[in-house]
Amino acid sequence: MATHQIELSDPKKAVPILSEFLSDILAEEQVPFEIENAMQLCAEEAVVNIFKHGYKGAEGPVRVRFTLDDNRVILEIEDEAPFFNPLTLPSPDVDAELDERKIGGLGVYLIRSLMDDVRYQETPKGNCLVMEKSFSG
Amino acid sequence: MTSENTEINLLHTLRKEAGSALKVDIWYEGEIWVFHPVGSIDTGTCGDLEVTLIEGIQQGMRWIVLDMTDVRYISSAGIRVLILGAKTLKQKNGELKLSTLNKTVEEIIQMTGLKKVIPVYPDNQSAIHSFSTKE
Repeated sequence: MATHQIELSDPKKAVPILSEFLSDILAEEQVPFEIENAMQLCAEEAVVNIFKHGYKGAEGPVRVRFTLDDNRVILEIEDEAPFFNPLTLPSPDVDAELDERKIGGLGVYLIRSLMDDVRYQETPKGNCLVMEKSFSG
Repeated sequence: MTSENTEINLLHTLRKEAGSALKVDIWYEGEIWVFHPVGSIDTGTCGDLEVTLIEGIQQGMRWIVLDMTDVRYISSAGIRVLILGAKTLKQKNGELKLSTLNKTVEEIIQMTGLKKVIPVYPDNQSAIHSFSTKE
């Protein structure tokens, strides 16, 4: 089992730093491209939501832990923002016509759609979102 | 259609605007404009595409094909810009179309229901041709 961890704090630099961190690990571990794409996307969506909504655009600690266990990748994202379970957000209407279509609100929906399992838990300091996806070796 | 000089100035402005993180090449065929972003459309780069698209629409472009040949990744931030562009064009009696999606980008476009509201074509020529057959 391989585990890698990174701590982010600057909302302006978080996404590129996270993207490079995951690219390096996923290449090193030879994870298939479609899994890399899904992990990158879900990590970006979760971290952007934390800085945007949890920390209201300000700096704050976000710890990202990546674990590869056989043919399963696990991404745990912890913050110290006020308690909020993003999985309680309603799903957007992806069948709506263009005029009725809302401009945002797709991030959590994409995480739920792309991952095999997504769990939320409160921690003593804030929130933790755990995302898992399996792939065939 | 705008005059030749205005077009050259417009292209220069758009390229300058898009020059930071996401390169967007732009060309036209008749009254159809083709935007060709190169790179990932994510939280960090979506603003470049938004500025380029909205600036183009404000300057009079109405029929736009977004050539996705060289976009290997799109997040919800990028999807937001596509919906914004499509809505803005529709309000001005124009239309946004997508062409040449790779497999992973197509999966996200499909998953978010965008195919229902933004037409997708396998290549630029069929996207461009679809405008003329509609009229």
